Amino acid sequence: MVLQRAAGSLLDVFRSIPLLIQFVLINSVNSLLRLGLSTFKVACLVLAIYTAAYCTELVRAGILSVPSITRRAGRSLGLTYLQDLREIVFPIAVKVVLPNWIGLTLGVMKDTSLVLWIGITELLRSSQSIVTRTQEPLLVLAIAGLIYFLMSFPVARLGTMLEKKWTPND
Amino acid sequence: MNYTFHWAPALKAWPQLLWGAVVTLEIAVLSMILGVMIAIALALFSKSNSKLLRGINSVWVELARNTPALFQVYMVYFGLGSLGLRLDSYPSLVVGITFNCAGYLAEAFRGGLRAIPETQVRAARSLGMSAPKVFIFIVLPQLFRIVFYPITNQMVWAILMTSLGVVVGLTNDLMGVTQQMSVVTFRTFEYFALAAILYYALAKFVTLGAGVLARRLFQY
Amino acid sequence: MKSVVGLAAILAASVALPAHADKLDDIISAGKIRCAVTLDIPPNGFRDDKNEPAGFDVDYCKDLAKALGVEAEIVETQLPDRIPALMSDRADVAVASTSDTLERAKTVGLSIPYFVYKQVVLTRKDSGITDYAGIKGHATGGVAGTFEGIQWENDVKKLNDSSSTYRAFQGQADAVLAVSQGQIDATPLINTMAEEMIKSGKYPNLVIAGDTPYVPDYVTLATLRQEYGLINYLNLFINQQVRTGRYAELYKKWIGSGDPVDLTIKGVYR
Repeated sequence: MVLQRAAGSLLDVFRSIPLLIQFVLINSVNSLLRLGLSTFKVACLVLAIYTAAYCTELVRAGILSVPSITRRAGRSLGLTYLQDLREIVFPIAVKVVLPNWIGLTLGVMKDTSLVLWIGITELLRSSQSIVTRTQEPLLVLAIAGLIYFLMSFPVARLGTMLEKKWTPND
Repeated sequence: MNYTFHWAPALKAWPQLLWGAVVTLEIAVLSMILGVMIAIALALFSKSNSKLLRGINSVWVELARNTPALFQVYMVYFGLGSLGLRLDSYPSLVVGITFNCAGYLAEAFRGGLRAIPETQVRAARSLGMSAPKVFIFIVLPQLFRIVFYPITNQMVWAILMTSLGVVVGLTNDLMGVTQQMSVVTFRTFEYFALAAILYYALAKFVTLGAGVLARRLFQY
Repeated sequence: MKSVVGLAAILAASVALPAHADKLDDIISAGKIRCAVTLDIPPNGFRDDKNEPAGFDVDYCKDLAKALGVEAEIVETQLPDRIPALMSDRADVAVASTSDTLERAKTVGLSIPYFVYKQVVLTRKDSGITDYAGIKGHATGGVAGTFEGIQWENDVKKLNDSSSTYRAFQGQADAVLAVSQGQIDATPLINTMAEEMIKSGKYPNLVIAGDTPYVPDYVTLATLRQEYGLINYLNLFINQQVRTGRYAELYKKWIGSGDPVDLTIKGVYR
């Protein structure tokens, strides 16, 4: 119980602090403690923790979406706890979680733009350096935006489609 | 560890950081008010018969949801500048966050509208209420109840998004103040740790406040 | 309890045991020196037509690597990110026009000056600004935490006038772009870059509106504060660059004809 609370509030911290600041802080912890991680690894680590913080919520919501009657029925038919999780909770919860999980994945994909702050050259940072040379901000940024859009839009559509398909008829 | 923390000068900057937090909250609140209003309009657009209005809704929603917020803010400041639309850092950030929030909230509102039974609207209309009256007195209150949780979430995101103002030259919000101090002193960890505490407090303030408000408003 | 103390003692000893190798040793044994260089301040640091790092600072780093007998690795950093790059061990030395402010010296180790700039006022032709005093009543901006940015901001604050504003950008390119796009009307800029920009013809709407009244901006090589061995080496290296004529050669190659700027300060030792 205590552990649950502690984990919950720890993850809450990662959801309540701007990612930009998390990048900066973890990056400086990396240097203060001489961990010797590359900035790329730091960026991945921060994004992973951040994603985990949100994903926990999604999974929790998914598990809670399974009616306890259903689960009790399963258990009274002699399923073990693990069997109950695997055979009953998982198939129902995954339909609730997956569309949101796709949304989360896309969110993280877009949040990668923030890693430019700790010195990684990604899409947005390289557009900035092209802008410096061409002095055509609108054109270059529009192309960068289009690239983000093309990466994100099809997957977002897939998410919406799954959500529609799996939402019980109402 | 080859580093000695200099907490004393960092703590001396506490008042400035607090003022920065006030500016941050102000930007977030302003963007959310505008964002909610636009989101309601967009949600209504999506149900409209006009192809143009539906088009505006889907372009807005898809652009806001499928490009990074950092990109959006940068685009408002530097991109629109080439079109002759010059906004200062503060309005650029507000416009950027509003654009983003409206896009996300419009989807929530659209779902919320669907959840309100059509029969209620028809009943109210047949009682002689005008369409705007029905919307304001019947639909909106229920809508807000349904989307209260998404709005609270979005408010927290709006606060976190204000940190992006620093890329378009904003210096007086929490992130701006923090960055200014850290680049002058190079004491990155100290100042950003203090900023993290303040951002956390702001976010908690919003979620706890929303919880209290929800119990007050929706207990029946 | 005793065992905890014992364990702590063993841990402390094991940390202290390895013979202390300083940064200079690390660089030599790694066979490579990582220089934090800013690539949006041509001609001192920029990307050439092939998108390769080039300029005075890049050559300076390569010379340093050659002197040490190691490879040079250029780590691109924005101006406000130079020192964080050192602190987070992404770079060994910042060869990035780091002004030798006393505030910075509290955190990083600075060498003797390797270059010196004048700061000029960069503005748009249609802004109506003709000199430094003319920035009153205008929206202006600079790069966060730079020597010139801090002084400019202080002067704007002293004007105490709501229409004179200051915005801090995170890179030199953004500040220049903001002037050329019209979000701000003027920015302080190092003379070499301002002259290079005007010469390039890529910025037809920008002009230099005179010098700033700041004292000359002496810039240094920066590394971690406690790396005396490396700082000593850097000081001697800079001295040798001037002594051997390499400094004059680089000056001619990147900055232009005329005598290279004097790196000494009259009337005081360093």
